Amino acid sequence: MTTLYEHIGHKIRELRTTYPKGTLSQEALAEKLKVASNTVSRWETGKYKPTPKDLDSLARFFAVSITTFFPDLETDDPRVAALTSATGGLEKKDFEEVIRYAQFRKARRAMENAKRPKKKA
Amino acid sequence: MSRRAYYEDLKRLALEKRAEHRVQTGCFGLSEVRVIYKEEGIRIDHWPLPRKVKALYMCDDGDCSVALQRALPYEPKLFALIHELKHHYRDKAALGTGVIQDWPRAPLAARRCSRKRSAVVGAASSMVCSSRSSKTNSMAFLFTGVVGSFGPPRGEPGDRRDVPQFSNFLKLGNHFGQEAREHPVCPRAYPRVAKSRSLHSAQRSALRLVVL
Repeated sequence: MTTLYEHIGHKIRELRTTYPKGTLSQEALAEKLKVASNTVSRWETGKYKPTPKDLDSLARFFAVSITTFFPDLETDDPRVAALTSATGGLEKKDFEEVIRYAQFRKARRAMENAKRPKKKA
Repeated sequence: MSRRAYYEDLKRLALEKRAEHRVQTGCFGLSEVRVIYKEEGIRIDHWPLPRKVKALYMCDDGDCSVALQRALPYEPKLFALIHELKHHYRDKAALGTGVIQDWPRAPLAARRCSRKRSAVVGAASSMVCSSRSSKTNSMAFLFTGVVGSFGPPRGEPGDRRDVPQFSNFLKLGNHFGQEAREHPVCPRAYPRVAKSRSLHSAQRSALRLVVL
């Protein structure tokens, strides 16, 4: 069974290797994200644990939602609808940033739950 | 709930929370707000929010956080964080329905009235009422409604509204008179304000006196 961080690692590799402008090397991605060149490699193997902020940077770079990195985080339509109502008057681009923040929170919570040791029965 | 009852209720809540967190008006700054946020279990995340959104409060499944524009100056940041605190105390339950909004603006006539110079009176509570019913935000109100009301009209000789002046702070102090003495700026903060010659300091002092 793969852990959450292994799943995240696979997803980063998948996004990197299917990058539209030709395959992106780990070094090139590291340069874009302004991290050390071996950090990307270690994220992909699950040796390093990316922070929610790292995942946000990756999601922005690949133009995907941060929830892409998580196996069971679906889009929560009713809540998004509520958010739309509460932030009425925002332009589409601005609203996307609000949604991005809501997804970041969700991702952070998922990562914290994964870190937390399970209670023994 | 009527508009008056709504604000009375908020005032009660504010006093209660001030006592709970031992808030002292003169010594209230970002570090004190951060302590309150920590005690309340609210996280502060710096986020590239759109320009028109200074801060954003979200809370679900017991996870409460505020997204805050990193580039905000000190006072607007302080103001935004306190504003979001109101949502935490007051609107958390209603958040899921997405109907959160501040109380609707006053009718046009009331706004016109509050924008007249004569509407600017000495008591801090009246100032807050005028500020709330005016269309301008607090900062603009303090500039144009308070600081501006001591001098000649805009553009005329002697108009120093746009000139950073320590004297603006003094004028504010004189204007508030008794109320200012009741809520003196704490000794730790006062030298900083007194040394500064920028209008920003006058704003800061005015906010401490009026809003907090």
